[in-house]
Amino acid sequence: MQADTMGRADSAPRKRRQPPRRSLAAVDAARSHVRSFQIAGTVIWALMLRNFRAEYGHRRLGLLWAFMPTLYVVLFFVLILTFIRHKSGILGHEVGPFIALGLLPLQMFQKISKDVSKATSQGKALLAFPRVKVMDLYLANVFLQFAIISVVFTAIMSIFVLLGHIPPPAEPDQILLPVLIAAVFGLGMGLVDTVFSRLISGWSLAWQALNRLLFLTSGIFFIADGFPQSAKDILYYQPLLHLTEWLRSAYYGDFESNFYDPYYPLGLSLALLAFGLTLERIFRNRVLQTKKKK
Amino acid sequence: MITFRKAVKMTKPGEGPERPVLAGVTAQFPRGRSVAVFGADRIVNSALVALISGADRLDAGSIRVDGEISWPLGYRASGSGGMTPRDAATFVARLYGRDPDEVADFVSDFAEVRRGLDRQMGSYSPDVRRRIHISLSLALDFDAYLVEGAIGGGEGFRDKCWDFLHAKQEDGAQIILVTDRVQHARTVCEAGAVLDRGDLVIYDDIRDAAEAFGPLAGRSPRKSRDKGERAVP
Repeated sequence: MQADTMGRADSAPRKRRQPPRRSLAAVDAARSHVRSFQIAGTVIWALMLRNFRAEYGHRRLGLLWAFMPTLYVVLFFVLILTFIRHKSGILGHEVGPFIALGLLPLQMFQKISKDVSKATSQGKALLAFPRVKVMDLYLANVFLQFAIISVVFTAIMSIFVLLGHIPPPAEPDQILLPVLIAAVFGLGMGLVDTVFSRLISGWSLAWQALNRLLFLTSGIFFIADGFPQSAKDILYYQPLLHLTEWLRSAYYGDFESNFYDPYYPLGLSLALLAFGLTLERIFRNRVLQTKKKK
Repeated sequence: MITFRKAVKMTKPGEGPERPVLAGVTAQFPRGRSVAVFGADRIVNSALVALISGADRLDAGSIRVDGEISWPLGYRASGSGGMTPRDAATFVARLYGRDPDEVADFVSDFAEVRRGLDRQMGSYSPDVRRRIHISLSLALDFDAYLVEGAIGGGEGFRDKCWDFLHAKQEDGAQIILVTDRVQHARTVCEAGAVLDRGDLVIYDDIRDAAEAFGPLAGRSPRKSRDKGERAVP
């Protein structure tokens, strides 16, 4: 049995311990699995609230700080684009909400991958609590960041809708899927980054550069259909652009992108997640015992 | 109950000459009994505690802990940075599905904190901080309490903690005490173990363990050896 799952299996509180009675081994196993999931849930929730408080609890503006990275990018592009295009917007869409929609998958991906990759160095000391397992540290950061970004974007988009800059979403049920895929992609990439940054020197710099490229090509300020076919053939390999186009198609009733292929980002993010989890499992000791290489 | 299976662990580079903490140990602590583990080398003792709690990981093999074991008594991770004792109490209460206010009340009462729990951890005196951290683990019900070395926070507080732990023992909890001193352990634990040069030998009777540990006590390999030389042949 791996050291990770130890402790959880039989950790019912002492008071509830019942006299031994005969039961099927399979039933016992199922019961202890349910129990370990419950404990993992409790632990992840406790870690999320703790991290949230550590991050925002002692600042005067609290959660408003979480809006900053989004707001300043939106503002930056609004200023640039209104200056260039004389307020015409992009394909008749107002610039502000258009940029915000494009930012959602990108930020979901980048914030989650960044938080996952700092989870172990930030939370290592908490592993001394026997209930806290390594995977809890990663997942707590994923869920917290997902919640924060969801709140931030819901608030920003609601304000745009209330002020009449954009109509409410045309297909609200279609919005969640690309966002979820971006989150899974972030988790997978965060795990890969966690391991590679300890194995390969120079990885962190290369990854930073790649991140910039992802930022520029994720479609924050353009639409893929505006490019010639040769460019689109290259852009096809940018998974975040698929998600952005998908999200905008779902949001705007009058915009339907011919570019995106839902199966590409879905398949890629699941494959990356599987790869990341495998790496994490193999190199867990190395990750916990060494620092990131420059 | 703690089970070691082919457990291997070496000390870390910054911890003096490299020596084994566990050198392929396969052993089992007796079920339902309090165990004192005697080891002369405090760094190795700390490493063993870290392995049991999950703070550190084995190089090979496995350790299995059945039942809910506490984090090392007095462990400080719960109150780092700008956190207050109340934040720490809230965190551990949530971790174990308990009511945060209940845990905070216990801590404030048991640790005898007169200034309330809402200042930054760093603003309390070291002794008060120590008492707060110890009280955090005592506030929760565990199947086993993990204790390393002596309990700090002042003599009176130490006795109070031991009385409290004895009461927990009466209720069926165990104490896993890892220490380099024999004296106090005799009154706390029934079974014993000796950790020496990577070997963990378990004795059903603590008197046998104390006797076996006798000649080793007080001989920390770190002091007695030259730099760079391996502690174990």
